[in-house]
Amino acid sequence: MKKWFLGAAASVALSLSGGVASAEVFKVGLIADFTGAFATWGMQFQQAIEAYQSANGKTVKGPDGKEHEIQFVYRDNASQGPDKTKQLAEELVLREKVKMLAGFDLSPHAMAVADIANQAKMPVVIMNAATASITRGSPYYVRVSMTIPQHVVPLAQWAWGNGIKKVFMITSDYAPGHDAALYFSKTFKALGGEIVGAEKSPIQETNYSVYMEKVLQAKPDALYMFQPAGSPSVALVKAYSERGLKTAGIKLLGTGETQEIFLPQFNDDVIGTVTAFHYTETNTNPGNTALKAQLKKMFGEKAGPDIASVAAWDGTDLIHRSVAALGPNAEGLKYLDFLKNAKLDSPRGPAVIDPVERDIVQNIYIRRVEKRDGKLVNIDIATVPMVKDPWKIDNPPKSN
Amino acid sequence: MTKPSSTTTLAPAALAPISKLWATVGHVLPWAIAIGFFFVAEGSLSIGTQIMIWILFALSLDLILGYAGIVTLGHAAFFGVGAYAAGLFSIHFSPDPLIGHIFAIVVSGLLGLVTGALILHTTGVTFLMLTLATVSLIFEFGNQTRWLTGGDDGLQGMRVDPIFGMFEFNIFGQTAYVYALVVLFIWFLFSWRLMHSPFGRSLDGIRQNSRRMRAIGTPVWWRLLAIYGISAAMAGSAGALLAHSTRFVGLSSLSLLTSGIVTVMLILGGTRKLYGAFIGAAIYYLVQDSTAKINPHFWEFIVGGMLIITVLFLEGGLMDLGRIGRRLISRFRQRSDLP
Repeated sequence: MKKWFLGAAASVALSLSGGVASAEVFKVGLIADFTGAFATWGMQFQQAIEAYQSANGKTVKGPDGKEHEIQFVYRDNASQGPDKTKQLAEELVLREKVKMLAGFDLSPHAMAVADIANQAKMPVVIMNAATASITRGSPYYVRVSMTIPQHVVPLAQWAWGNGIKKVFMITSDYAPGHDAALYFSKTFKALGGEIVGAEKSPIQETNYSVYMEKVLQAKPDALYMFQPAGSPSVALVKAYSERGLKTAGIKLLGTGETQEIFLPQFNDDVIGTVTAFHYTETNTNPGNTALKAQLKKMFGEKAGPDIASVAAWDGTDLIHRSVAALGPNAEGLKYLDFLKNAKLDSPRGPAVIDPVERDIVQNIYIRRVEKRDGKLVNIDIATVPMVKDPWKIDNPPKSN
Repeated sequence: MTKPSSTTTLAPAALAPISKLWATVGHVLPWAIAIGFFFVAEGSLSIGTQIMIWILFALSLDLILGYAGIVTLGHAAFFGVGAYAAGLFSIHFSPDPLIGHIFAIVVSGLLGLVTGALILHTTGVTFLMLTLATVSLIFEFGNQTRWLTGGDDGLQGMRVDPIFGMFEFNIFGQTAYVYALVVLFIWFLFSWRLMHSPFGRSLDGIRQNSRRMRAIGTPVWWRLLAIYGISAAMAGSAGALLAHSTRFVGLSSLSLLTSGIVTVMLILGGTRKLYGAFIGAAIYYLVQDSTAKINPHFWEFIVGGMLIITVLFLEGGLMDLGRIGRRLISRFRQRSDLP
């Protein structure tokens, strides 16, 4: 068995060394979950990358005038922990000789490769992993997704500006939920608003009746939820309607719970929910039209885009552009320098990479769930332009 | 899972006795492969390190599940606590890996003794439920105490000094590999000695018939508690290896899934043989890793299929393949002995 493995390893190594020598291939290692509970992330990353490359070509012309192929090597984190991520990243760097790493659906996975990025001087394009502090972990990190406070702060501001004075919060009991609760209440209180109640719900909660009774007693103007997409948020909206909160005029606020890929799971109770997010599927940016058309063409009518697709599309765009500008063999930090201040014509709308934090600065859209042509969709009702991650404003980088 | 009375550890008489030479080869082979791998597998030592960590973890489970017959799904508690103990020690006290490792062993061993003392008076399904409760409680504790563990984001800021001030942990993973290999070897010798001691034999007896063992004067509860604590310490040692080689600890090390994976590995390889953990963990990890490279969506199917086949046809796990081979050879010999 071992012998077989070594044989296979040797043949892989041989074929690789042959491949690298003969063609100008720029390899990017993409690590994400392709199986298990988070499998949609990997699938959407891969689909969007393939869609981008099919629309824009796999090769870019470098500064030397030669065509360089950008090739993605996909690895499954397989529902295992950051130790697996690290092992995969080391192999991608040492064996596959990738020049960049990308992907990372979960924050611990992204954080675990900081050491490798620093030692191998390897740019890392983070396509999801939303914990605010991540990009401080290594100067080689650049993030094209979002942070939790980036959504929550504009939402709290919008609520205050639209006559909501008292809010009740139900947030999921894990790190992102804690961040969301912290930033919502902080922002809302600073404006003069009142948090009349705050509950933490277990991460897989599906019975919200008791919470709703508490909300009713507290008589808020709005209920703010931060729940995992899928069954918990569906159950919350159901309880919200069944327990009479909707008829009592209590507004429902949220962030990513009502993305279009999840909306078919809800019934019409969800109509009127206001959420703040960085990507609305119904927007008519040229990038968004291209992404949606390409996904539909390649993966069928049901392949709807979501934040994973958008981030992978933009990440691929940045990778292509940096190879076009610097060629395939530049030093890691040169790529990072190039990406600082890079403007993105993203499917989500305009966005730019913060030159200091290497994190994305983007519009946040306030949307309302409505029914159009018999289908539940998000409709933009306000835009908060160019929001920088509030956590980074609160925690300025230490000068050294 | 296993039929308690029919499978004893003594080799049935029908089998050809293993000659000393073959036994020696069998003992040397895994370690020779491990040492050889170090020299040929440049650039993928990391996978070897991971495999050895899982082997150690599976080995620790074998002591209680295989030998003592304690069926648990909470073993990740000790693995994860060991990892967090090593990680926190490096952040708050000293980045020296060896002291941190010993600290992790002590912490997880003590946790094993405390939780074991609380729940080992039960057996069977009740015990299984209590182990589930233990691991869930500890997982939730890790999730809630964000100031300490980083919660769902994982433990950040670990620094690990070079071993003996000389061997640095780096991307090539040589230090981590040798470190894991040495630790695994020490634990293996320890387990081997332990399981062939009167203490180990008494555990075997307890698994087969605990009432009878009590009747002949064995302090059953104390023996079980002792092996539970030892096994927890070993799992914690595996966790410390994980923390030091990854320089990051995630909440997943405490999850129920981790308990499940290590159980699958052990059953795949074969319980009660020590080397079963080696085969099971290595096969699981290599098959998963290589099939996932061909197609990321595919590996669960292959691993699942392997597990079904093993459980259905190989009662003693993949280690049984050796026994079947020996039986075939002896049958062949008998036939050729005929005039």
